Amino acid sequence: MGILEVKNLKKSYGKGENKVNAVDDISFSVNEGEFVAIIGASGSGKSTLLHLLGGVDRPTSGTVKIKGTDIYKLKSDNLAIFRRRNIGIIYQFYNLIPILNVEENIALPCELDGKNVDSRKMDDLLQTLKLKDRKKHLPNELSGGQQQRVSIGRAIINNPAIMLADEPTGNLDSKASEEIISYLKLSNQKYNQTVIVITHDEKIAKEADRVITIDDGKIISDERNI
Amino acid sequence: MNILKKFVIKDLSLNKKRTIVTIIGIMLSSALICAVAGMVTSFQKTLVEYAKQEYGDFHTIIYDIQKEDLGKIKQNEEIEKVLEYEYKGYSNLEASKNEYKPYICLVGMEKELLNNLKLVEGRLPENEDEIVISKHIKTNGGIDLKIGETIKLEVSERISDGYKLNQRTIFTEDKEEILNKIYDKEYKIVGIIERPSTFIEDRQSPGYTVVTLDNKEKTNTSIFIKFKDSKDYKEKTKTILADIENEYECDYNISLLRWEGAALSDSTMSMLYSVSGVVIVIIIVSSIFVIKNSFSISITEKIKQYGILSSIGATSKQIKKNVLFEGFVLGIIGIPLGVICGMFAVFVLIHLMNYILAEALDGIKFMYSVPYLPILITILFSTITIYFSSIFSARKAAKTSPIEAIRNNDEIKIKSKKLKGSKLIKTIFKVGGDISYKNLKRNKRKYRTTVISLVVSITIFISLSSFIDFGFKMANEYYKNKKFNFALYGGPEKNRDTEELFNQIAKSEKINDYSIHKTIQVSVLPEYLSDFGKEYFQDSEDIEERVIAIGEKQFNDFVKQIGEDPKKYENKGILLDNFTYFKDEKKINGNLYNIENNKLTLNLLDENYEKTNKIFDIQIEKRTEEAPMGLEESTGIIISDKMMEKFDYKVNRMYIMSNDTTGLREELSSLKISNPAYEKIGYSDYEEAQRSEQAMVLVVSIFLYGFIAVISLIGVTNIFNTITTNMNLRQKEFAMLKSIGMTQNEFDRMIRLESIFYGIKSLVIGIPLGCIGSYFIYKAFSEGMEMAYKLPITAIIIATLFVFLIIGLIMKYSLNKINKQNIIDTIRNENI
Repeated sequence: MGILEVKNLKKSYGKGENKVNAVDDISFSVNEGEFVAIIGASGSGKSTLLHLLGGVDRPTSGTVKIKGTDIYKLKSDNLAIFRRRNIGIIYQFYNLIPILNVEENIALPCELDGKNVDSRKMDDLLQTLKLKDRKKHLPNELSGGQQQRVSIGRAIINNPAIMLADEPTGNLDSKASEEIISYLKLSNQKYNQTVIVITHDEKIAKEADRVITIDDGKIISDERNI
Repeated sequence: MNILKKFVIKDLSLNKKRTIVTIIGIMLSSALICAVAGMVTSFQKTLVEYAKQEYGDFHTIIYDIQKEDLGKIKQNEEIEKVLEYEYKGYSNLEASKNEYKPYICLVGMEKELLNNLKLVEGRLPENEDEIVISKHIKTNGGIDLKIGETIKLEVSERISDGYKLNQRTIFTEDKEEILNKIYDKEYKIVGIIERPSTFIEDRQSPGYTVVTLDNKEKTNTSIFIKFKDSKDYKEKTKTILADIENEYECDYNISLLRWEGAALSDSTMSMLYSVSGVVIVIIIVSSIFVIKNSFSISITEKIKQYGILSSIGATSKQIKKNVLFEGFVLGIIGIPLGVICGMFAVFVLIHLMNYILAEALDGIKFMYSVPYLPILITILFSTITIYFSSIFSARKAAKTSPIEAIRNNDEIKIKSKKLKGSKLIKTIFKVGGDISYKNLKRNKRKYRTTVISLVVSITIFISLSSFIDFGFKMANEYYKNKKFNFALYGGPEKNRDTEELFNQIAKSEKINDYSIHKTIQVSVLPEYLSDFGKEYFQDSEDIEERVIAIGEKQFNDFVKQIGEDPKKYENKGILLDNFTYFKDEKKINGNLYNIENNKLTLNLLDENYEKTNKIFDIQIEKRTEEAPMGLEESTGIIISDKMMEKFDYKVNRMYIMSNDTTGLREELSSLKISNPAYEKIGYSDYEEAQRSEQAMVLVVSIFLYGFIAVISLIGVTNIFNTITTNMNLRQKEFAMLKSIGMTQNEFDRMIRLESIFYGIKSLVIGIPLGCIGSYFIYKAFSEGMEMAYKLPITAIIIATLFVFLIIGLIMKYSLNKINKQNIIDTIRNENI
């Protein structure tokens, strides 16, 4: 059984003639430790799919099971708690809290859970993400690449079951993009982290174990890279 | 501190201005609640102190108790304090000019009670041989006893039909009374006191009170009882009386009990409470508006951050707690500041009132009471206000799904149908105007809050300033046309005497001019009515009129004033005829009488206004609409004094123009003391009345303007928060407009237009509402007097200027902030 199981997932907007099926009856599963890339043209529904996987939006129908838990059967508070323990999300535009510094932003999911951050772990993370000398800076004092590294840090601080990334390099130049990819790859290999990335980026797609292509809300191909 | 709390604190300190404005809003509303409640408790304290001063600090009085029962009463646990005094007996006061008060009544009091007496002159008795006498022995009884004199009192019991009488039994000549001497003793007069309270000596009590010190055990004591708690005073008194066998008379200090709230059936106190209740509700409602508004703004600004928090796993409970914590932080700063300001305001107001109203209040001093209760009320109400304001926003923050919150487009969900601009506006104001107009429509909810805040301030301002305006006008108008500032009224019985007294008073140097009115009542025969008069009187036969003589000099002056020769009018009358009445709400003015025949035929009326059928003519050649001094009626027949001699006239009014009304009053009171005949002459001091009325209106206007100012300030904080955040949220849009080539000027114009739209909309609603309010106030005032309604133009202009000034300043402030930002930074600073 996979760490993530998606069954008949649907999400539609509007009614009647205007009805748009952003995600149209998608089913697939991902095994632990896999690095999956989801690609597709813009408007194909991939971002919606990712939000549904991350439990930040609600589907019209269908189920998403993470580590065997049907997340949309959870009440919203329990879902939030589940999210902070099991899902790490990285957005294209970082979505850091502007008034909290780097360290505080990374620590957020942990603090929300009422736990103290293991300082060794924090140090290790800051070291790996090369943010050690930036830890007291506010997000607007950082470059795009640095901000994205902070959000990666925030995503993995709680060792989530899966890590979701929504066009993580979409807003970055090629050098910064490479760095981000290498960090994703690293966490996948070093911590055996399951990673699902939505991307346009050919390079990420090539690095992935598996590439799912989506069009019009449907999976049109699901291939493994050899 | 946990991370979420840190988040709130950081957010508050980063958005310093919004935080400060919100705190000011909370502070103002707490201050207002505190001030209103504080005024009420201060008034109450003043009234309680006044009642204690006037009537004594006790709740129940029990008269003439026997020794053995006193000990029993004193054991009652509800009682805080018992003060004793004794009616020792009566002594004849033969020279008394008051036939109902033929005695002196000797009262023995213990030291503490003596101290409560109000000393006018001299000192209090220090032993059993000294007495103080009440002032009214001289002013009412006409006996002048001086300090230092000794007086021999034959202290006796009053006996009638074998019963012993006391101060509560009236003296009548119908029943014979015997005085049974107990002892006689010489007393030295050491002081004069004000007349004691009605509990010791009632108005009708037959003996003037004189008081000596008596610390010994008394045989027949009356006691003042003060309960620990005045509540249920009746039951408590009944219990006391039920415990003893003998029956005694008792009475309650109702004035004090009323203000202490124990006898609350009284309408004054309940009105005070209900009015302040209404005011507090208004304040709370408007405060909830402001505070809720500023919370929802703060939440809107942070909704994205809440979305992020939620997407990385913050539960809605955590977010709610977070918002409430924000409310807690704001409240813990704002409420105490508000309480301090409110208390200070009450303190200042009380002193101001004492200063302005010193004369009108005649010795009553308003007291400042440290208002524990108002502070509690304020804290309670403000906390409730903040709690509800924040819980509402908290729910909203927690309800929004994380991804929606991150996108933050909930606030700008729009339908294109609703956003059709007006063609007119587009032609007049070009694209800029179109965009700003559409913007108002898009932000309907926020727009509405701003407009409502403005409308409330405008309406309150316009109607209350009319209120003040009418108040001042009333106070002045009423006295403006009077050619006199003092008037005397005589007793009705012996007319010629009154005339004599008036003439004596007229010799005073403090009188510049005067007019003594002599009148007879007549009925005019109906055939002399004009068409106008017929319409008014219909078929009535009773056309009552007065014939008035106003004194020789006055008459001559009056005749000259209307351009005639006084000699011609020695035997003729002048008709004052300028009658006004209301028909179907409309004012109609005209002449009642027809004097084509140069005369009026009159039927003399007797004292009871019955026709005597003594018919006579008065020649009338002149009609005037100008009234002589003192005449307030619009019609009347004015004749010379010589002509009046023929009739059995009445003298009961004297109108005086005085250069010193206060001095005149003093002269009158000394006249009254030297000659009791003056006692029946009453007076009105219009100058003093006008002064106190103006002072009253001044105090009321200070209150009202203060109230308007604070309510408007609350409104301003509201508008400030709405507009500035609205500007902030639209930064990206502004940057975009600039990036596609809108010049700085066009941009500024667009923003200015937006503020003008705000202003116009709120004025369009606020001004008519204010006028309606002011019209109602006019209606209430006009019951009392004729006054045409005038639109409160000045108030409208002030309100208009104020509105544009405020909005303009706030817009300018936010524009400056926006213009400092770099276009591309602003555009890039967006997400998802």
